[in-house]
Amino acid sequence: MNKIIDQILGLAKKKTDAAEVILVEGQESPVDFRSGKLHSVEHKEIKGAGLRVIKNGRIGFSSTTDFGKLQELVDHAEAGAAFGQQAAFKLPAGCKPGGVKTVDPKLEKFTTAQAVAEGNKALGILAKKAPELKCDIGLNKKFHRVSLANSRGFQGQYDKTSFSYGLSGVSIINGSLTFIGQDRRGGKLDLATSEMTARIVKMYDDAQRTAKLSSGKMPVLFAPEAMRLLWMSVAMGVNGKAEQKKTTPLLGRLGEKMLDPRITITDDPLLPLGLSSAPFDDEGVCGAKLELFHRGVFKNFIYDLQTAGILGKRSTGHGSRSFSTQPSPQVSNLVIAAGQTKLAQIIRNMDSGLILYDLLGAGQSNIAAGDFSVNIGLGYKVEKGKITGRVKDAMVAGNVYDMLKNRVLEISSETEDKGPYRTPAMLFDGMNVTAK
Amino acid sequence: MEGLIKKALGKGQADYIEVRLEDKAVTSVVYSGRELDSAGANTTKGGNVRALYRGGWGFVSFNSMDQLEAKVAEACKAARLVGRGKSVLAKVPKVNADIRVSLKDDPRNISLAQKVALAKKYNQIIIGSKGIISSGVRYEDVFKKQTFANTEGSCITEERVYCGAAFSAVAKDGANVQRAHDSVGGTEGYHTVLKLEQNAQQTVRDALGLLKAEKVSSGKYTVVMDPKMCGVFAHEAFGHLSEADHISENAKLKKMMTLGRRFGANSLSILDDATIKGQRGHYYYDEEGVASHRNYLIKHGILVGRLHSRQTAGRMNEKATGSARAISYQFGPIVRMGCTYIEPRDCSFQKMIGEIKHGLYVVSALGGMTELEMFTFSAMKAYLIKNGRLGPMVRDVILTGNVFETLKNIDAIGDDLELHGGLGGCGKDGQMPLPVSDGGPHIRVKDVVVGGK
Repeated sequence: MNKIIDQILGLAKKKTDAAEVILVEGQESPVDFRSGKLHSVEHKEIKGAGLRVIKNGRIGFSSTTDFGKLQELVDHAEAGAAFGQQAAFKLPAGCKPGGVKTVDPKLEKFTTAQAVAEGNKALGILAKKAPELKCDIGLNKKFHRVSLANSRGFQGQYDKTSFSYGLSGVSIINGSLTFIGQDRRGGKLDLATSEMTARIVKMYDDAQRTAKLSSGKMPVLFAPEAMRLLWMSVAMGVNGKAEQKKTTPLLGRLGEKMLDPRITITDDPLLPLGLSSAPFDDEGVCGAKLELFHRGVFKNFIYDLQTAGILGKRSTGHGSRSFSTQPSPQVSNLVIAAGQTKLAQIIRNMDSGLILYDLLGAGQSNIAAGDFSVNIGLGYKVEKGKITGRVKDAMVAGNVYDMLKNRVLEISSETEDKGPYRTPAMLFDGMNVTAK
Repeated sequence: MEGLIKKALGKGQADYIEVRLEDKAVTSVVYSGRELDSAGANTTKGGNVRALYRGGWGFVSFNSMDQLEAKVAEACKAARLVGRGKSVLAKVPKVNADIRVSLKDDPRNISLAQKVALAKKYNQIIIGSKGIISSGVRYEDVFKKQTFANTEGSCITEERVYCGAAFSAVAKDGANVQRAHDSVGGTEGYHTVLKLEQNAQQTVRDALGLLKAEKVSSGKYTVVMDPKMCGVFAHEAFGHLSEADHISENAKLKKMMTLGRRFGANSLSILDDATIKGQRGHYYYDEEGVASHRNYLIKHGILVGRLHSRQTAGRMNEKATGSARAISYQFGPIVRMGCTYIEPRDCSFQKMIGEIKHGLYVVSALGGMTELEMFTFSAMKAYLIKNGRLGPMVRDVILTGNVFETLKNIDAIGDDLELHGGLGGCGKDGQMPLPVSDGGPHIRVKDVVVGGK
């Protein structure tokens, strides 16, 4: 299928018992604006190969971007196998890939000059409607081709496009530094400049007033961007590696009602133009839709080959890696089922509470256990169904599993793609909020 | 290759163009708990072209060295999209240099089996100790060869070899879990990582010691910083403020960092010196082909300099300092530090401690955050000082303050000097980790706010 892969496999077969090669060829064109000015235009090409071998039952790995030294690549992988982990799996011989759209032809045609023009358009809107904001903008178009083959006969290849678009502004409002941002990431060209700038302008206007806040328990609405914190935690919880290392609160809870019955979470590697969509995973296992939680009931952990082998399970097609690292389990696209109520209606029905957009310091919390205590980067007070101002110097704390099981009041009927998560907004009851 | 680069550069349409090619090999061994996590080697070959046109940069990176001329054209095209002003670069000498590594104990000549055995030995010391529930040992060596050429006629090849090890230990007693760590690293050769049994044992003692340590009581203390914390302070709190790209973008910072302003006592000098051989932060030429310098930032208490790329130096009408660095071929150079430290003076450690009635001796940093002149650092461990003597260990020590006030409050500077490189590095603008060193003597600072219980 590919000369380089054939060459590497040929060399590896002579010295090892099994071998697998991943070849990634890609390019990206990031365009960056800083403080309202075009800062840089770049073009990055990457071509690298990773070789995993099994010899005497042990795993060896090496990677390279130097295609003049393929024998060295094989020697390194073989040397590593003398000390590597025991392989608990056989490489897959093949599978039938599910059909999935991973290339957006419109994105392929999108030029750097168009990206510069789009950034300038966004700057123009914001300069008029939110003049105090100092804006940074990043647009990045990526293309890559993944080729994978192993010594048992698997051969596969696919092309993939992705696009990211971030708009953020900073300003000192009422004496404190305020960051306001919007971003889009996915497999398709998503030039949502008008929508993103309109949202930033609304958040900027709402931030001109500061709301009074006293500590206590209150309903808190997590906008889709804030829901990322919760899904990050759940993604760690369902990871087979965490099951293996016994670091997940979901250990031994398969079949149990762990979340609110309104919550269904599906992992979908076949989502059309999803950020993490692919016809097969990075080990050559074909994935399909997999329900992780069905009406609150915990249904599945996700596995790669090695983790599944150690636990006596089958890979779910979630082996994820770059060419320079060994695979580990990773969720693909998480699709969270929408609710019944329009977001605007949820806000109108709120008597007194908060809406959160941006949370800071998530890295400091014990996210694996679901516990978090974070500063509110951008959040607003809601009173009698209306936003009354920005909340400053406040924290919110809780446990993700407790929230998703016991505290769900509302789930919005709209969902948004936030990176690998397609998520609604959710309103939680009795959240602990501390005003400093 | 040199001929090819020169030919490609000759075809470019811009005010200035440079090409940088890189070969890199990394060998690492990682133990996590009782298990060997991974052992092996990776190689990288890549390059980039950077072009300047009317003040705007275009940048292209790649792995395939074919069609260098097309890459040059692409970088020039990108620069033309950005450039709207004037290209200004500080003048620097044209350099032709070829610097090869010659080490008695080059880590590339040591077998993977020996490296695994060494890491295993250190890991056994840690995980085999009573009260320790988890360990981490990482060995790493990196060989890098870089070739740089520009349209001003400079052509430089430089090799660098990094080698180091990092240890961590986790101790547990009931619900009380404590961690300690240590790391060493430099460019001297394989002996950097030999005979570190003491470091592994000390890491164990620190983790176990922290189990028994009380949380520190918050308040204002006279603080003695060890050379590692002193280095983190010099690098994080002060060094980043000296990076001219930050200064030129921020009016408030520009005013703060006016040359000639007094920042501390006559005895205080801070410098960034990437010329110290053997240090992790050592290099001969930066990624713009400018020789590394010994740059005083503060001399006798007065701000005398800052760190520059050729562009920031040109725009501010100052001299280039050899501080434009990139972590790899995938990035263009930005203003960075090399080896940042406070110069030693004459105060002995005994005298420094002996004069304190009530204070803290803070040792080694876990990490930190800065926002302009405000800093927050957490110490790995600390000891109370009472009536001139070291007392029991305390934990959860977090130092916060304003860097300018803190510099003024340094009232004793030690007669020792330690520089530290480790295995990690500095992060800025998505480029992490860049090999750097920092350090200093022991220093004493009055009125430091310490957070705690």
